[in-house]
Amino acid sequence: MADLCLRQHRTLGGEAVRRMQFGPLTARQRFALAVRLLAAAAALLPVDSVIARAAQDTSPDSSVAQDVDRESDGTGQKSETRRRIEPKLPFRQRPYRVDVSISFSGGGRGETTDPQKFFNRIRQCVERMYGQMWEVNFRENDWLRPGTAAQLARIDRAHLTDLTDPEEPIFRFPEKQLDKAMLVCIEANAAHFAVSCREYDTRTQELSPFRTATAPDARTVPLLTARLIRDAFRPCLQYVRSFVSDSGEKFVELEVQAGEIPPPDPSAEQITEGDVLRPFLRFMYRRDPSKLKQLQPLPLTYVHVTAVDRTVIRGLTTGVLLSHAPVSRFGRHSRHLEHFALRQRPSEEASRVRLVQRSREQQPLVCHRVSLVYKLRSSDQDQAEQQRLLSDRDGEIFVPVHDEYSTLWLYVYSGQLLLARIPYAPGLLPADVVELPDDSIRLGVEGEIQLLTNDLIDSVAIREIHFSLARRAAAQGRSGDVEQHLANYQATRGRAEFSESLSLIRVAAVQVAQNQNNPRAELAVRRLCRKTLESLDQFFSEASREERLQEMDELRQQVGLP
Amino acid sequence: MPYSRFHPGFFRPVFSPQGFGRSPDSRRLTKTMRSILPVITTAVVSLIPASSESCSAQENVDREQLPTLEEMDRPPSFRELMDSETFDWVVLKFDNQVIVSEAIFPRPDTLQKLRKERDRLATTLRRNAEQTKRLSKLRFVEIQLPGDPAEYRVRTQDVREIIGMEDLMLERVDMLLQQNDVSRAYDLLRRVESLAPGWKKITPHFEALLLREADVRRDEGKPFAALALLQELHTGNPHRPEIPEKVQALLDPIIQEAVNAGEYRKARWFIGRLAETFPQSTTVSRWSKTLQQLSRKTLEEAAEQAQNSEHRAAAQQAALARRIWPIGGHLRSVYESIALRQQVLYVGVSHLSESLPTYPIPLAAHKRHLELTSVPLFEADTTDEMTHYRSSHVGKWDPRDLGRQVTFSLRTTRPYWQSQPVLSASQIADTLVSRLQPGNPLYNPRLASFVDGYTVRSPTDLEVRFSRVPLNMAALFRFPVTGVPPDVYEKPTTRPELLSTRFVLSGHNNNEQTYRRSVPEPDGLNPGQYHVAEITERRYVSRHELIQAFRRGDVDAVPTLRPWEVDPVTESGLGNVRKFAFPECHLIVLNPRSEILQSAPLRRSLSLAIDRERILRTVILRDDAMKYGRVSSCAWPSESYASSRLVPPPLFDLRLAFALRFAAEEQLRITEKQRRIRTARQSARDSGSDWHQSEWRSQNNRQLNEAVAHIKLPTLRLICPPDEVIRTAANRIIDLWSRAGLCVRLISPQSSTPESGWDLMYRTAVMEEPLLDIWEVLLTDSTLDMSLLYGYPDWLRQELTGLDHASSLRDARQRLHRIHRDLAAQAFLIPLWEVDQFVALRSNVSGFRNWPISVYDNIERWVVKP
Repeated sequence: MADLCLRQHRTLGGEAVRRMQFGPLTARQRFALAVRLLAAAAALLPVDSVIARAAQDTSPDSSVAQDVDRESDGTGQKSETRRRIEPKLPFRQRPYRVDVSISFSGGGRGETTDPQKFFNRIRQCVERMYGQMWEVNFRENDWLRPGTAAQLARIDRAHLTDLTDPEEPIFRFPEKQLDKAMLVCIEANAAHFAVSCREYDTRTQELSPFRTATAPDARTVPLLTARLIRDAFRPCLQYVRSFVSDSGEKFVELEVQAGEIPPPDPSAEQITEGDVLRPFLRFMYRRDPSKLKQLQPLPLTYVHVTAVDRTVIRGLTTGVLLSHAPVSRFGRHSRHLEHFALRQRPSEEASRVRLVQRSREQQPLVCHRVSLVYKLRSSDQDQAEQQRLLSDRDGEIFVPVHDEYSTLWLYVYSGQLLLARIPYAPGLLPADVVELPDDSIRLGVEGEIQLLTNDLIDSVAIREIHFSLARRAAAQGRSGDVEQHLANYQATRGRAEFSESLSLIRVAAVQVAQNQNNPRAELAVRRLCRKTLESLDQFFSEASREERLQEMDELRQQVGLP
Repeated sequence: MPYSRFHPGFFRPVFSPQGFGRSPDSRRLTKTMRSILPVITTAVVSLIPASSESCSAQENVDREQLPTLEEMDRPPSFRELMDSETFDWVVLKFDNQVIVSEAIFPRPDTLQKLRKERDRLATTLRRNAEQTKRLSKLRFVEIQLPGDPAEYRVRTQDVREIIGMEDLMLERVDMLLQQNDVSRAYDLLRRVESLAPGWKKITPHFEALLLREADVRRDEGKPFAALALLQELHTGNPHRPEIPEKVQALLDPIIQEAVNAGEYRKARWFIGRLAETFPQSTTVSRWSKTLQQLSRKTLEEAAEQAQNSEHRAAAQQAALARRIWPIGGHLRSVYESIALRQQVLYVGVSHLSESLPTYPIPLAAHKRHLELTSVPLFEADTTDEMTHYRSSHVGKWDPRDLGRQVTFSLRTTRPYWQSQPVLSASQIADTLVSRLQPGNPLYNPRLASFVDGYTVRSPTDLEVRFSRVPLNMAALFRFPVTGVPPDVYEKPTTRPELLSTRFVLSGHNNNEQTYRRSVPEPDGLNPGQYHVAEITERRYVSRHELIQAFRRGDVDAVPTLRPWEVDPVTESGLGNVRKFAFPECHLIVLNPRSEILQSAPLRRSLSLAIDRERILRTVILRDDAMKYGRVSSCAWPSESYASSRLVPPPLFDLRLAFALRFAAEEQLRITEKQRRIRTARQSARDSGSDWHQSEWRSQNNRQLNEAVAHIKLPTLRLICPPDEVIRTAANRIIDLWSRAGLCVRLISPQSSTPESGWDLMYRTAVMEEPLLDIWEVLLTDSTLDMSLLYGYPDWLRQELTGLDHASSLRDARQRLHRIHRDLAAQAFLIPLWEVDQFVALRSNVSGFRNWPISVYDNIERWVVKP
């Protein structure tokens, strides 16, 4: 639906202009827009792209504020005639520019018919929470129609971005104009009001998980809406440095946007200890560092907040970087790289984590053993009892949110091998995918060796039984039985037979690994077989064999056998 | 008195090592004998000593002291006659005085026999010396007094009669019969028979005894016993005039009572028995006529009901008419048309589904119930290497896109004989919703992992898309269709119910369960076109009663014959015996929730300790040749494509089992040992001393072993279905386990038995498709819950779950062969044996398949001829 709205705007220039009139454009922006429209008319450019670019280029809140007069050179190319550099606000003092757009369906305005009044009531609630931390604009959403919860839940990034030209994507909510966009839907049902909300972060171009709540009375809808907005809001952080503490533990330090602006409502505090940050890497253009070249989320990497400074440098946050990779790219120095993070709190009671094979993403890792290990760093001791799970037929496990531990470690096992150790923060995202290496060849060999071990146990047991029977027969002077039992003893499988079986297992598995061009599996198989062979050598040692032969000779002599 | 006492063979004389009637107890003299003994020994009038010495010694005998016959206690008491040695009373002509002597030979009828011999010898012209000597000897009766070794002679002419002990006994028998003391009379007669086998005087007394006993039994309210006695009497002497009267008097009230109670078969049986013995009896003709009239009248009522389309009532009436009296003549066609219209199949069973205790898995009775009441979308049809499926609802299913998509074209009409409603694509789609929706009680995770989506193309077309191509698509859709029936759509709260039904349970009690077609066959067909309309399962407490009922025709089918019943029933020619397409596999499965059974040595010890062949031969088959069963190494049929020929049959090795049990127990102690080692290490560290584990262990090995000696393997609980043969086999297995040192207790299923209330389960399984069915058998779980596999090693888990990913038959075979090998090696289930299954159907039943897949396979087309 959102996509459809965008297309309609593209074709209806007049409507777009009308829409922009109600938007947050200043006189300067409207002027720039008029210039662009004239240029577009000359070059037959799509009207909406012109509008969007004008809005982006004329954002008053850019880190480098630009007062640009553009003129057409007749070919459609733009040239800057004047640039005025304005002083940049420090990140910790910079308020969020927030756009709150509300969709109504089914008479969701309640008793009031004036949207402005309704907005004012929500604005009052929001301002009571955030005060100067937010520069907020309220408006009625005119593209998300009719504005149902299901519709809002379906929206994804593609609905908010026009990727017709991948080099120059057009955003419904440009970064230079906004930091956050709050999409709110209010549905009036027969018995209650359903309020839904999602947040869109312009810098990470990511929508927050869907949140919804119900209110029985229209009077409580503004407060409920404000609370949902607060819960959906994901504060932004910027990497400052990483350091090693006196105890040798590694920490990272980040600063919170508008961290120095305290919210009037304590419940709207941006960061608290135990919160989880999701890091992102923003690669900027070298020539225009304000322009995003590439955005790279870092999945399964988190910063667990351990301390928040509320006294000296407000908004300075210290945390532990948790990553499954040995070395994380987050915090690595680069000139045109922004290390960005979002504080995100659980919106679900559990997250669905899908384990897939790295080489074949469509191949789920079914029935794999996973332990939920509650501790901060991988090197720490367990702080709570492990929870054991098995992945289902789709390779999925459900990781529940823990009241005390916002992050945990997923230990994925394959037989005796710990296949992966992954940090995870359950509840932040409804679903995640974890890619793991294929261990099937090694696991198959492990099974074969288990069967071989069974045979070995049987063989040992039978040998001991025959030897004890021979001993008893010798004590009773039954020479024939002694000879028979000792012959049975010697007929049982020995080291050579087991070694041969082991070789067969190894050769077959190595062959499969080589055919699949999987050197890692080959190495693992060789290692496993080598260990088993060492065990065999240890068991069938020459010393024990000599000792047993001596005992057998003694038994034979006891009953007069040669 | 049991009937067998009247068997002719019962009167054979009893021999003992001491000789006939010479037991030490019988040697003592009775009271009477003791009282008269001094008299006898002191005075005998005409007593002539056998030798001269003794003769002179007896000259002074006082002959006045001998008792007369009237003074004798005649006949002696029962106890005296039973316990004393054989004696005779020699009655003298003089004053009827009696001498009690030991047995005089020849006997019985001694005097007559002696006189007869004497007459014969006297008339012989040329007597030899021996005969002459004998003749002279016959002038005397040689007697021996009790307690006196000397022999005496009495002149034969002085003897009036010799009353033998046998005569006295018969007299006592008569007296006892007059007193209705039949039992003692019988005992006495038996002794007479043993003393004088074949004596002609016994027969009338025996007949009198039978008559008297028949009266007694009749008076006691035991007419069957009385009738048996009279028939015995009639067999021995058909000319006794009082027998017909007595039999009629006996049977008339019985027949009357049976007719009044509606037990017409019983009445007919008595009439038939009477007619067989006394064809001219008025009772026979009277009752035959009465019952024939009643039968005709009942049949007329049935015909009237049939005309009113009350087929069920008409069939019941017609069956009643037939029960009253066999229908013949022109009425036969009327009866047949009514009976064919509403055919009832009677099935004899040992258990009914509604009265069975709760069991963790469906038992045979539950499966029969499910088969009748719940029709899966696809059901097994035939089997060769793989099982092939048919569907009553789907007419055509064509895979497309290399199997990634299939369109089910549903039947729009159904044959007149089919008892299932016509379903629509949306109803099947509703079922799919419930099967694919997590959280729904019917959720099927395996199906959900295969199905990517579905579309209802039209009311008869359902398109299903698969995310992964299933190897056997039809096997995946073996579930019944559920939904809200179309006629109750107005009620939004209506819960989904079973739509694909074949029969519905119409009534049940402790002894019967009745099922009727959910959609009856239409009226107006030729009587020969109709099929089974109703099935009644009748419960029989014992197997003997069940087979008897089958032989009598009370039931038309026995769903599962015991192996030893197959040949006799086949040879009896009563009907058809059909072998099922799949044998039944017997196995012991382990509870996946039982932690102790995660020990591989323990599992293998349990498996190795079972002597499968012997138990199969002696308990299950009762056949040394093992014609209908074999030892199995897997949970599916040994002929299945899933069976690996490389896996040998399970071993029986008690020694190895014992050793492995020992290893399992040691394994159990390891945790405690490790804990103690940790404690010792900690204390060593605390005290600042060096820690050498191997050294510590070698020093403290004995103490360590003693400290953990109390840790033993727990008693395992074996749950077993309520089947006497299986329970016997289970008990034998438990005995073997106890010999290997394994303690296992047999528990009975109860409604309160929790999922973790058992460790081992004896179960039977019939796997149509091992690729899909192994899960349910291995884990005793139909929810396909993956978490139950947690106790399994990772590699085996991967093998099991990998079965869903089999891409070809070859691939499936390889995977199953590997699983077969691994399960057998690790004993994750303990296969026992497989037994061929047979169903017995009387010859009036037709329409069944030659190789049925299940008990009620193709039941809608079965015909029960009247």
